[in-house]
Amino acid sequence: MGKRIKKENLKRLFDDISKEYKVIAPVKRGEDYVLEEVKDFSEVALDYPTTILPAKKFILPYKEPIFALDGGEFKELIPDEKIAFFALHMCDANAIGRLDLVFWNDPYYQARREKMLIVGISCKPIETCFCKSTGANVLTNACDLFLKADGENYIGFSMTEKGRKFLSQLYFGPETVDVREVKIDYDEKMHLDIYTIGRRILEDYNNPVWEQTAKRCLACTNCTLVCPLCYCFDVIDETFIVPNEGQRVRCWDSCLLLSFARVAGGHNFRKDLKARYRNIYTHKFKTFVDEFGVPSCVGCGRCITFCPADIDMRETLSKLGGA
Amino acid sequence: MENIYKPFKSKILKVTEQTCDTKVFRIEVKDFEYSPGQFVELSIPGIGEAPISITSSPHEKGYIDLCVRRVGTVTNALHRMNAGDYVWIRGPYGVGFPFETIKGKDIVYVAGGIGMAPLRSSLNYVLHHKKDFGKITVLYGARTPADLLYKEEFDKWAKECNFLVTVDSDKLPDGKPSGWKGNIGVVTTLFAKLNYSIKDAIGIVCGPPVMYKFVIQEFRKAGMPDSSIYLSLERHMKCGVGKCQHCQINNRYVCLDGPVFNYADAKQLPESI
Repeated sequence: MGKRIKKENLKRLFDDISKEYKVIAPVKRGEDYVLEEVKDFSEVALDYPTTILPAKKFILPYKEPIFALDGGEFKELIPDEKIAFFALHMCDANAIGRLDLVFWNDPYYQARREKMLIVGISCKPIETCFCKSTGANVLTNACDLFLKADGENYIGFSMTEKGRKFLSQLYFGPETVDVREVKIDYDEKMHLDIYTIGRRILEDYNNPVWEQTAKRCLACTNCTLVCPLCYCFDVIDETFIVPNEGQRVRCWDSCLLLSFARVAGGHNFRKDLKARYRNIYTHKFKTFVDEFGVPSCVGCGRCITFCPADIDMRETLSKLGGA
Repeated sequence: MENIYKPFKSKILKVTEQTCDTKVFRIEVKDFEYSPGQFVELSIPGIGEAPISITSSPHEKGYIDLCVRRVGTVTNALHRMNAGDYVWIRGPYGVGFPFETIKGKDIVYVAGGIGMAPLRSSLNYVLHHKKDFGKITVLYGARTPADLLYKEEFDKWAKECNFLVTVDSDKLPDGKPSGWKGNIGVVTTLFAKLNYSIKDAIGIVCGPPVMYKFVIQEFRKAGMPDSSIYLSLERHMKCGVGKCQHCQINNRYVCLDGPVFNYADAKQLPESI
């Protein structure tokens, strides 16, 4: 059950959240939209197409110091920040919900996550969206609060205790609105039977689609960088100019890179780009499903938008059959 | 929350030179339970972290031995360290050899090069509990006589099990003759020297990636079913706890599900060997 909020009252909600949290919201930058820290509600884009990067850049920073190397000792650097995402699309919020499954015992991730507030908002799906195929178009408790568009105004739904606190504020109307299911519904350009396709990856390992698509792939890693659920990482020690001081950092990596599956002595278990390209799919639609019951893809479509070789993940998947 | 990435400080008790590029580091540990086949993540602050298999046997208490070839930044830095220096350890990680399943059976170990390191842990464990197992055979191959590891234990192993050694070449790395009197040829040539049936034995293999399929062929020729073959697989596990994805093989993680895999399982996994 939800409560109505008038569009002009969203500022009061934003301001209340800002009192407690560092607020990250979509803003317009040039022709595109990005997620960044926002202090003034007037900067927030409520109706926006997919941002360039997802929320991942704040939750699993591209390069995160995890230990200070202080005089040859490892000192934990646990982040201490209280982040609120304001007006996050359903797919991006659900991507965080799926990252939670992986990083449940990761002290750095959890330090941020436990204090985090996520306020989702309705979106208007664009041509590259396929969240319905991945099951990420449905409201889950990855959102603490969700703002469903209702004409000019919104209906707020709280999914957690943290969200309820804000829903009880006066800027939400007193009467409750009965809505059976909150989901993003639209006609996908291409609907995919993701679970069947995922099973087929191992069954039909040498499907010609890998060879054909890998020929076009530049291994630029754009797709894995913009993916809200690509979380592969590398761990590197950096030393400072001062003796015995430095830091151990965790940074984004990509299984598309040649070095990814290389071992000491030089043997590379995925030397061919074909194998590395296929691995993205194996992990997202088979390994992750086996491990957690959902794919590590929310169908946000960023990998399609930002592929310089015009590779469309949906086309690759559809060629594996099961559509 | 406990920090799953935080290593603990450990003293190097002893360094033993094995070959020109391989040393054994004895590291002090307390209350450290592990099983043969498992590995640790070893850190040198400012240099980095690397997964290293444990080469000592769990019946040896108070320390672990790590047999390390100098190949990367961490292992090169480690080779410059001495007894009394400190390294940082976390682990043990992974699943080792399934001794409960293979109890009472004959075992054939096949080790190639540095693959001897994890196998030695298992071998010495089995020899220590000899009455629980059948006939033990070790087939060990290295590039040259100068590359053979644990030569000081050869006599002991030859007494306690059927221990066969071969080298790819009897020349020393500088091309000079070594005076080697033993077998010459790749490790699979030793199978012809077995004068008994290994059909019902358990095969345990660790070596360079290229070696596996040839060894498996020999086991199959001898009539050994795939489910009796165990492989210790190599990957660069960066996190050791199933997160970083570097050791993922399709829907398995070498750091969580391995590094020891049953071949009946591994053969279903393309890219595993």
